[in-house]
Amino acid sequence: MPKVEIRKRLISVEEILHEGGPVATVPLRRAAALAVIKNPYAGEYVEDIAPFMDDLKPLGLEMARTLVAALGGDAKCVEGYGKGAIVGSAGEIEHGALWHVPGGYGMREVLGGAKAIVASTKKVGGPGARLDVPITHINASYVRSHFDSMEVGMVDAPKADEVVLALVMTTGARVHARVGGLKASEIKGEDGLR
Amino acid sequence: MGQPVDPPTRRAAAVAVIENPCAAKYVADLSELMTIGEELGELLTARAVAALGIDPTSVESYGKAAAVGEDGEIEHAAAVLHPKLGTPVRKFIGKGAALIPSSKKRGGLGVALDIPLGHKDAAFVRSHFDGMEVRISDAPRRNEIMVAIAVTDSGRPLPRVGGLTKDQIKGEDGLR
Repeated sequence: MPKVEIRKRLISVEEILHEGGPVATVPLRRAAALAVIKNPYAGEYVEDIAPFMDDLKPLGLEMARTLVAALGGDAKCVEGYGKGAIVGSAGEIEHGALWHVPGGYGMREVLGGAKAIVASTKKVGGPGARLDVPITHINASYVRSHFDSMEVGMVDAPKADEVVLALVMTTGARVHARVGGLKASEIKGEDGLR
Repeated sequence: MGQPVDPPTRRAAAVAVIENPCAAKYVADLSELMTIGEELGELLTARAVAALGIDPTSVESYGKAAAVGEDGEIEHAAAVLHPKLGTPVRKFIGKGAALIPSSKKRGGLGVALDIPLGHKDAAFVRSHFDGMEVRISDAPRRNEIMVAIAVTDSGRPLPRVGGLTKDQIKGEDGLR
């Protein structure tokens, strides 16, 4: 099985106090963890790629732990999450899809059984490509105040034979959330949706 | 990589650039933007489906996104996308039990906007997790919003990372 070779990591934390409206008493924080790994399948068509998902699980767990630490260390403060991947030019979009299972697994482990599907997106791109990682509430996908996203990327990645893997966590609703819909306080928590 | 994709997978996005009626001031009641979302839900879905040249009921996955110019708030994107845009999308394509995946951002002219994609009837169909980047060189101006809807006639090309497949969809809860 191919080994996971990491070239670099990046952690970024955004703190949002206002967007022109009332200043939030508790600022919204959004944190992203990125890892640039070598794409073991770059440059050729490989049919059987699925086993690499297991190899990536420790990295998913490590990145999820890093995010919680960047947000202050208490997993209970995390209310939203998302994931994504940017595949370098010698790879396929399918190589980015390998991140769904280990990325989701890592965050669920660290957050103690979050119920909602982890929102995601992916693309093939060159160094400096940016990716809008979608974000939803960790326990109920329909919580409208928590629909959000965070743009991530690195100026020198992904190289042709690399993949940028991303996990994102947030600490709450959009800073001026006021478009109605299901509230976090109304979550039933049975199906991951409502 | 030399591996043919047959039949080809096809995705289409329709993007509208609208004036943001709430730009440059704090507006508490965003219902005007919600109404705009309802109108764009039908308009953009119809245009994206027409671009694929398929029957609306043949759409397999979908997504939505918005980019707000610098004089607006992220909440303006939320007002367009979330309360009312989805219903006309689902009406147009005939079904859509799953959540419509979405993303939003603020940005300047030429900002790239990623529209996440997911299967329209079962969010866990792994072969259909995808995304489509859209960009318009002269939008959004500071008082504008870019609103995008993407549809596909298929999942990713050559899917092979396992998980739920579309022929296993039960279609009861929008998830599986």
